[in-house]
Amino acid sequence: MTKELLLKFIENKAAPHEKEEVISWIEKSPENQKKYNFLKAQYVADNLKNVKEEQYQSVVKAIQSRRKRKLATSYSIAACVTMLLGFSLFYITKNKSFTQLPHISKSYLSEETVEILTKKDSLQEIKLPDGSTVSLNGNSQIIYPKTFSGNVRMVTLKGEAYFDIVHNKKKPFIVQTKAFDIKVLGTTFNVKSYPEDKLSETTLLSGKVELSREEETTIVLEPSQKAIFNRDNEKIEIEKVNTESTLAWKSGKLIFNRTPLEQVVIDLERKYNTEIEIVSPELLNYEYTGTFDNLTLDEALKLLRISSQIQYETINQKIMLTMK
Amino acid sequence: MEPTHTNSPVFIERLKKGDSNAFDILFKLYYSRLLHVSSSYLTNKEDAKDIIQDVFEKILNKKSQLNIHTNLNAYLFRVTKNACIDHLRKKKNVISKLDNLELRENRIHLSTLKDDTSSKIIEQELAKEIQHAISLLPLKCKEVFIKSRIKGLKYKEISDEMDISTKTIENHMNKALKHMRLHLREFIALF
Repeated sequence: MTKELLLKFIENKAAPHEKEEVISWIEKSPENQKKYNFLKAQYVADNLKNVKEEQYQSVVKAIQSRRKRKLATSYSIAACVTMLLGFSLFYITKNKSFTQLPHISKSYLSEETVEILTKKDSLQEIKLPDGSTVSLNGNSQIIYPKTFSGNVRMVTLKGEAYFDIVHNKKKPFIVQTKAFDIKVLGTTFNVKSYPEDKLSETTLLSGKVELSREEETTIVLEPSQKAIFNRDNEKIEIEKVNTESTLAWKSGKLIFNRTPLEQVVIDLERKYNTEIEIVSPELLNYEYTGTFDNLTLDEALKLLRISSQIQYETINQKIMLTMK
Repeated sequence: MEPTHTNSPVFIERLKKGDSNAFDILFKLYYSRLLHVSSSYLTNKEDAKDIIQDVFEKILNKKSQLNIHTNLNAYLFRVTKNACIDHLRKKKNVISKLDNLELRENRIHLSTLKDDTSSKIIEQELAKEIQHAISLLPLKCKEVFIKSRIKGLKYKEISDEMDISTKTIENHMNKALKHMRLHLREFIALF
């Protein structure tokens, strides 16, 4: 084992096969582990000099606000009761009509809420009371309180949005969707959960998120992982993703990668505010791959025709797709 | 020990009394450096941050019951190290989605942290770095800075002790803080 390779591993620059080699070597004997420990400690110690300033103001604030809450015990107990009441109210509503967005009553958040609804073909940037930002895709809805006063920061989402959440360990950020509740501590992630889509997706870009669904166990996502909830069989799948294509909608792009045509059509309808019908049954199982970079509907349809087996015609403002 | 370091009994006493100036200095000097330590052993940056937040919160909440007598630096390092060990231990028992390689890497980090001879190297370097940060100041400046920020003396008290005017002390403090701004990025937000 060379010192160079060990250092490369310590610096986190080793390729997967090199990593495997180093790990196996360390595991081979206590002497090797000891040698590695020394080198690693030396490296961590040496790099204390180069430590860059980290943003800690939010951490100080988080600690202070938690301490204030501790001092005002009676106040916080009252707040907890309200929260609990809110939770149970929410679950009742949720179980009753799973297809509808949970109705948020004033007592639930014990505060005024803000509701933002985007049109089919428009995007909107929103700044939340804690400084977190949300980019809301078209035909989507978000509900959040005017101030986040309880122990959690809770918002409700229908549709698609990209979240960049300010880190605050003591006040987790929770996104409620039809498929799951997404709990985060401070992170960037994308949620796609339109009521008309079969699949509900959460993609993590950085940080850590936890997904929970009713009593089922919690799923923890690592960066560049996507959790897909399938409404038909109620199964959750985890897969590695290309984050670029997940966020393509933010820049007006649609990227499809072996996407079932059914989903392509839903995305196109949403983006262009139009109606599209798949006429040929053999197209239902067709998987399309292609990128629509800020195209008009006309250009998009032409590209679809050139790049696949699909033919289209417009009848009564409705676009009909057939097999060539 | 001469009170030239955050390790000094005077400084520790101020922390135990809940002096917010002392806590500020502690945060500025230690937050980024302890985060560097925890991030070196945990793959998830958010976990590393959470651990350091807990370390500081513990100090702030326990205050007078803090079990620090002579070595604040060793205490901070030990608490950080133990929190990392606890975290890695928990992860070890989770049948998770982590791939095999990552689990093996976690196990190696765990043994590394438990190796006291090696981790002592980091602890000592940490103390040296903090000392260095303070020692970069010009002599008189440093003296005033230490009396004010480490010992927590009032300008009037420093004036009596050093037999210089409070105006001169103000000048020294301004210089010290300016120096800190130039050489120690950690101080920027504080003053």
